[in-house]
Amino acid sequence: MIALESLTSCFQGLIPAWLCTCSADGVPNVAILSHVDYVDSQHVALSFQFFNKSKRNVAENPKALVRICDPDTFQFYALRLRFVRTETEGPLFESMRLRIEAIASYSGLKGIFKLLGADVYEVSSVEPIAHEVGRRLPSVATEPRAGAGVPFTMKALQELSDRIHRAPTLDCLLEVILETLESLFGFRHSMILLASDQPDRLQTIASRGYPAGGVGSEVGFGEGIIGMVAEARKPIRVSGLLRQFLYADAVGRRAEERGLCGEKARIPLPGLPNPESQLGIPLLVRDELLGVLCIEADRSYRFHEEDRTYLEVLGGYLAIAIQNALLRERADDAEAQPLPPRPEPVPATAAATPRLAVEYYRGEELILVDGEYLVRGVPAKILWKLLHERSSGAAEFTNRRLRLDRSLGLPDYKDNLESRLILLRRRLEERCPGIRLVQSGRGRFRLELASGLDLIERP
Amino acid sequence: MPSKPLIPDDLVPEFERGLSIAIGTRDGELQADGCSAWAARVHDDREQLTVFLYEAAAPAMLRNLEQHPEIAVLLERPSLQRGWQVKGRFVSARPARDDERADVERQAHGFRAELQAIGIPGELTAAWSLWPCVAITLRAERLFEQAPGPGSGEPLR
Repeated sequence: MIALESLTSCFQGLIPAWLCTCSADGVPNVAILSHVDYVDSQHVALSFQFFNKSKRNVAENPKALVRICDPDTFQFYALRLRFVRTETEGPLFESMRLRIEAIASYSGLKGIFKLLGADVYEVSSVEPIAHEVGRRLPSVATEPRAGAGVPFTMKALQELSDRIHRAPTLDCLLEVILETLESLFGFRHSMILLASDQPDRLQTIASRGYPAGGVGSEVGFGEGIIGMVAEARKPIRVSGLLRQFLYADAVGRRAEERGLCGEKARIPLPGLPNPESQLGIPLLVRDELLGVLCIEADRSYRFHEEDRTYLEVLGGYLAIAIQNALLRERADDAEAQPLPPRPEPVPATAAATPRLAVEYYRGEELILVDGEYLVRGVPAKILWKLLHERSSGAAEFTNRRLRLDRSLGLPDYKDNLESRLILLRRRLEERCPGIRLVQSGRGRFRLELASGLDLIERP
Repeated sequence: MPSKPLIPDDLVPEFERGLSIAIGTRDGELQADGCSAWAARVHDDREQLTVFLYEAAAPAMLRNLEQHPEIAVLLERPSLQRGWQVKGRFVSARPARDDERADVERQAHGFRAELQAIGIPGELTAAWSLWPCVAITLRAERLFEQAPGPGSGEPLR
């Protein structure tokens, strides 16, 4: 029998699988499956989401046949199965549940499109179907594949480690991580989200490989793959997202017809507009969730199980590196030299540049520049304070002074000030180059203005 | 008053447009088996359906059907995630005729276009063996809705 381990490519859910069952009175049934999961060398698991004919059939007659397809070669395989049990908890169930709920949350179908159980089947035979073979794509055959043993070498990991150790600041560290994921491991689209000052929300603090950086974009816990990773603190890998969205949409239509859900709306999330593959890794230090690393591709089946395993291990290391950088900057901040005496007020207006209207909405804690959203929450409060002080002549600031400013409402412990400043600086670079935050030393920075400002405070 | 035909008129062009088609049969031990088919044709009486499968796939299906005529045919449109299942009984099998080849290829092409619509490159499926085919005819007895979600598998007829 062909070893199930050799068919890992088939268990990505990229090509729909079929399940053939037969009732006790001899009537066959065929159903499309959203996913077949590898369990061990003798078992697979099928998702059980709805009570349907297949489910009733295997309860009466445990024999079944499933047809799966290798997305690299389009070779089909027939697996003869015997139903063993349904799991409703445990690692297998959790891993399948998270993937399904991530798709459901994109489509506004949480609670409708969900896993009821992981049906475990023993595999008695695996046969390739000789006449149902495709053609290996040249790109698939020749492109180095992450997880195929090439990228995650000890040498590459050592290089990543060296680069992380050399990063002098948190800001540099985030850049180094994302740059290295591309240059050494081939992951071209990636982002890091850290816990926001809002409860159960993450904010993008660094990204790479996107036309718009997306820094500052937010994701709630439980929303999409990133939010599910944060909620469950487990990695999630999804391939063939387009097909799975279509599947979820079809479920949604039926649920709506039956009055089982209200109006559903796809939640806009940061990242590629139409990703085909996503891999989310929690950044955990001990039990604390620091954030999420998300890697995307616009190609189906980009990430393999090996990628998930390697990146999960790497995620722990990156989380510690990020936390160390945060702690180091805070310590540096305590040692920062006091600022020199305040200079004469600096003219705020550059001669030929148009003025910017900066509006601060105190109630919502958000800032618009020329009517466009810039930033909200603690970063908005920081910027408003800096702009006000700048208008009265201050140009140089320290993290320490901000940290001690009670009006900003930073918590006494783990205020994440450094990550908020990075987010603010990057948002300004992306959306408002007329205002710049420039690092001017350990724990200090300068506010530079290339435009005159009209500061308007709203309730 | 004549009874309604099992396969409604509006589904005929849908069934013949080029879909993902799967056939399910079973043996004497109630072990289910299945294979792909490349095309379907609804007969004028709307009660019979002929499916065309590659000849190498046919012997295993025919071995089952000659002893156990129960057959299921799943027709699915991947880009819309819509599907139907016809259940019935095996009537006959024969080699597909040359004059049927163009339609089999048209439907297989339609199916490949559907796969491309969900992100599966056409090059991957270009090497499928389509011809010669065996035509298997069944008498449809029940028709089911097969779109995923709550209520999937409910009878239409």
